[in-house]
Amino acid sequence: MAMTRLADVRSGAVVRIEAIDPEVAPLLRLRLTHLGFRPGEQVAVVRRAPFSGPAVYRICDYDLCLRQEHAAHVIVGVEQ
Amino acid sequence: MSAACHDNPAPERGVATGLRRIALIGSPNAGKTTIFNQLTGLRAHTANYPGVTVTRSEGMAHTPAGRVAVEDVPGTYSLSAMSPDEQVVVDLLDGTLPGCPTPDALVVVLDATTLRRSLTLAAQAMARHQPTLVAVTMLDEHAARGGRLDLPALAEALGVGVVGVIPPSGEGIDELRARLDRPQDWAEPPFPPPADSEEQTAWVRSVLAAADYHAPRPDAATRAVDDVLLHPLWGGVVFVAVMFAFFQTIFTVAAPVQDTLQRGLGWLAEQVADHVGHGFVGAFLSEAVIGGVGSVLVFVPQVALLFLLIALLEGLGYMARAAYLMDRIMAATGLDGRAFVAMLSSFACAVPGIMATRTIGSSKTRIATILAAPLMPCSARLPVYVLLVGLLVPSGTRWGPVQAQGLAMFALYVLGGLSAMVSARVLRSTVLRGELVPFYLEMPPYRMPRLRSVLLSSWSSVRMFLRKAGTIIFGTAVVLWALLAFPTRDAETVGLDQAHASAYVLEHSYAAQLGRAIEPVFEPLGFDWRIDLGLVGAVSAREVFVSTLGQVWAATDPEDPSAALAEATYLDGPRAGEPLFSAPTVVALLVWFVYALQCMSTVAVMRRETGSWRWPALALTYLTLIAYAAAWLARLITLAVTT
Repeated sequence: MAMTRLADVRSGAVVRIEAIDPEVAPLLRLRLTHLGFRPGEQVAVVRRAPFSGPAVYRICDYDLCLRQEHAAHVIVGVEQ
Repeated sequence: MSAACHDNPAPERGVATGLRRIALIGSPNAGKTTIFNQLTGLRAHTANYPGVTVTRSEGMAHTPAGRVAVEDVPGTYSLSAMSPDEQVVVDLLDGTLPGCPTPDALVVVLDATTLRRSLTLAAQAMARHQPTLVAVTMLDEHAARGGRLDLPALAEALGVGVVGVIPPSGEGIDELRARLDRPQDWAEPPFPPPADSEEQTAWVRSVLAAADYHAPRPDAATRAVDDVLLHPLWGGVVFVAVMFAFFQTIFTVAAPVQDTLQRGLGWLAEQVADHVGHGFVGAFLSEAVIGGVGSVLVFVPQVALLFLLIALLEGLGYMARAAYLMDRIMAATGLDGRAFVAMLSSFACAVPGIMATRTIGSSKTRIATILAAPLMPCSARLPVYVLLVGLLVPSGTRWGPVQAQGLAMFALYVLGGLSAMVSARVLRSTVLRGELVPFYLEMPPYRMPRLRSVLLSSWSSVRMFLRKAGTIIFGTAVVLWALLAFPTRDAETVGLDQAHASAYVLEHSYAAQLGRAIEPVFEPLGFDWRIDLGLVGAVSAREVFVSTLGQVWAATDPEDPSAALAEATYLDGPRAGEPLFSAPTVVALLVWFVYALQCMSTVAVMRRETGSWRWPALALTYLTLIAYAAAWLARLITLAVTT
């Protein structure tokens, strides 16, 4: 299994969250966790806005729109 | 200030002290506000928390045993603050907010369909060691989408009371109301959930398993609609169509109502003139009261419709989609998708626009939006633009198929919109730089909003607009009227007809003295004291400029003041005899109105929404300086081009 960042996952894929980037400020880390980005959860990339706009993710049974810069903090595992 | 949460020891409209206080906590879209409205009815009281741009709502719930104060805490996904605005929620719960006692108990509102996420919020609330009750909403939708949840088992797993509430039918509200009576009987969480986030994840899993929780299917209809509405191409097309319909409705539906209102006010003013006479009282009533407050009242139909449509689109779930679609563009201005709604509303009027910034999570983004909003071409500029463009471009002038007047109007709108974007960008990279709070937005399933909540939400905004018209606008209108009507020149105007008499009074009024006093300031822009007098009048509201000029020139030609306006010349000074409304002057005036913050309502609402005079003062300063510089430059350029 390879690691990548949620911001780089193609639309339509379902991936498993491995970690939140440990470099990220603790409060931002915590906020992402509270939004549902917890290690072990599955996240589906529902759609991406063009021109590197935000994307809609399905996490914890709801749809959340997040910008690329913040999705880049979420480290996910992809099946080879 | 009527904020209950303030220094005032005895707020006149706030919630009485000595009552039991219960805080409603929940994520946005969880149905918290609906529960709040059902518990408190229409008696909610809103104000700002001290020092921040967060709206505080509190109300009184009538329970079988008496009254309980209920506080609708701003919706949040997390109880760890990342900004001063979020800190307020934490301080409120901690009881460290000056003047706000610690709540006696917490009601955590959880949406059944997103329980896997929202239990994290419940865990944070339960870790506060206070009597806690959980209200679970959206149970009907949860079941309809194939979800499962055993409420008694959930209560057992959490160790606190759980009430199922279905706000539309009111089911569960009575039980909740009855329980509000005895928060002392509510369980404090016996074994608080773990604080560590990995252990919390395990805790959430075990609670869900114990409550036999089965997640609902994603809403298939929402997914299908989003495939179109959020499509990179079709989503944009639909968005433009929705916005077009939005403005069409606002301007076409509101216009006849507005005309009727205007005629009604005119009739009222005539009645006053006929029955009270043209004396002091009559003039005060018809000009200051009816004219001043009326100039704001005519915008009420438009503003009400605007709020109604926004509440409708918000309730349907489309506003979150619009924010998603617009986020990329708004990011270029340093703002985010949520700021788009505020900018959109500012096309009608900056006041509702500024009020609409409440949904923006980050306070720096919010203040930048508030400061840029007055640049959006609002509808009060329209009559001014129409008058001035008419003086600049003869009607019927065409370049090919393009009508020149329409093109000039379009250019003014584009200039205003672009300037708003640029100024937001500049503010976000200077005084309002940075912000930790990320932009995130839940995309709730499309839901049919309840008529009651749409009406309630738009009414509370309209009420705020009306209250402002009744105070600030009325005050400024009275002061301006006095400046324009005094000193009375009874001796000098004997024998003059009414138009000449009022023009004479106007020309020798305090306002005219003020106009002459500031004439040197505006002389480089080509304005004479009569235009300055119009600008003085327009301090309260832009459209007053038109009526003031009308009054000044009514004396020259009472039948057709606009023709008199077109032929006006400078009365004295080095330019005496030259046409006053030459192209350079008119262009300078137009540019002045694009930028200048000539609207006391906007200043007042800025003060209200930001909780300090600092931001309106900054807005007044920067917009006046830009207006002056840009008007001067525009005059120079026009002079160079036309000669």
